[in-house]
Amino acid sequence: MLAKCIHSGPGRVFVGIAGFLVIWEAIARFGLGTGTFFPRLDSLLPAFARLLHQPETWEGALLTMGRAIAGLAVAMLVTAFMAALATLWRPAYRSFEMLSDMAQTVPPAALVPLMIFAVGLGAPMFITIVAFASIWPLYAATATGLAATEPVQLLVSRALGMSRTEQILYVRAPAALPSIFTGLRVAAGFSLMATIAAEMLSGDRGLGAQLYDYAFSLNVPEMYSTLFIIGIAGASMNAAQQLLEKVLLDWHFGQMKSAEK
Amino acid sequence: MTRLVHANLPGFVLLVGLLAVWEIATFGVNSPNAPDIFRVVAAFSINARMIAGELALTLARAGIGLAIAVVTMIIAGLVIGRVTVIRNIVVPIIELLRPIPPVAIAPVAMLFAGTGSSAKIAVIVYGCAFPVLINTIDAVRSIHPLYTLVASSFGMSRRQTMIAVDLPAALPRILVGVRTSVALSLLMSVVSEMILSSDGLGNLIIVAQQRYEIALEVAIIGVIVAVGILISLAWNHIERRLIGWHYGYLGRNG
Repeated sequence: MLAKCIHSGPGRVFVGIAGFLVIWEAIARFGLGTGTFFPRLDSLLPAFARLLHQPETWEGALLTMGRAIAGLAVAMLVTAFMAALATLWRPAYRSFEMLSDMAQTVPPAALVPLMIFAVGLGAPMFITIVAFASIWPLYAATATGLAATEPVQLLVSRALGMSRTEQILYVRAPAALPSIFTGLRVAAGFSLMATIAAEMLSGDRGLGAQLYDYAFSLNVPEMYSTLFIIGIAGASMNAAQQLLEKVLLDWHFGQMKSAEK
Repeated sequence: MTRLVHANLPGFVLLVGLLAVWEIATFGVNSPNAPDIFRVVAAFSINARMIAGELALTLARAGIGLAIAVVTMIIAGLVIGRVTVIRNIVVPIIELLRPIPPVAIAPVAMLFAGTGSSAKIAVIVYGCAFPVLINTIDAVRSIHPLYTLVASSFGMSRRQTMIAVDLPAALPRILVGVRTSVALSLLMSVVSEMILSSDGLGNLIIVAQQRYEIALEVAIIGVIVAVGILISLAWNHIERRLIGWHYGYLGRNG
């Protein structure tokens, strides 16, 4: 239902932004009216525009999104390997189940100090932490998706003389794509969150570090503006993914529609 | 324990294998910077009392934050799901706020509430709110219209319908969201303590980092994993109590 609301176009976005700004101004004026911690729009919007004109903001946004996407890419590679192994060999499926149950409880932020110590600041640290954070939802969705292929399709592929590897590539993987994309959506959210957390804790540039600096130097309008820029970065990652999903899963949505009729 | 081992033998083999690799890799090094299993266990037992105290704080905040988020967001979700006017305004705002990662809220919470418990609880509430809220709205929207019609032919008011019809009918879906939030609450609690450090397990990680006590850091992460798994097992029991009657639950687990 929510997904349908998003798809219904730019009108919703305007409603959202307008509603948000009205509520914001109302709170700033009448609610938490101190004004310093909850700036009114007349000081917030100029700060936002100023940040958009600074090259540092764009560099930070590129860095943050680059780290998130690089970590996500590594997570996808590892997931592909793990899920293929899990589909070919049952004990692997069972043991990864346990590994993922345990690993999901590790807060990615808790790895930041360890990783800084092990590999130092820089891209490898971010990519490892982001990949670790986003791999588990992706793996869970991929493994269940691969396992849930329709038996008839598997029988047909066997009748056509496909090997098990071919079966994974040409039958199971396409059938699992909708499920994989669901996992990817969750994983993308996790990847941005892990990036921001790692940047805040390590102080190594990026939007997370900028947000932290603005907050602790009490540049309140800049802090909120950075927060919204992070939100925009997240939203554009979502949008890119929905676009990819639409291109790759056109056949699936077509099927859903004809099933509804 | 033996039942657990039998339940997932390959899992335990992998786990023991990974621990063995770690032990072999670090055994020869014999340095506090690359602690082996024994160093980590030693660090745990020396600091057990301190870890337990900080863990209690971390769990208390996670529990309070989770409870606030679940109660308010189920109520909000029931209302938003049923009242079209509110939904048309609120849902786009939710979609705007949702891409902001909850950790990024920590500095904002700090401005309003300092680095005390309430700031951390605010971060946990924010992080746990969205899964519950979104699942509740979706669940209420997908309740079969017949239920509502029956309720109105019984002469139930809108509020009565929400409590007696919508809530139980939406509960299985709502609990999917709550499950996500239960796991998130512990993670958010630790992360908020790391960023707004003053006490709790998250702060202990930072302290251990500053003292270069790598073994203690690994021990704390181990404690978090153990507690996280216990919470997840406990939640399975609660879920069975709450929606054991539901066919979807039976289909998944029975």
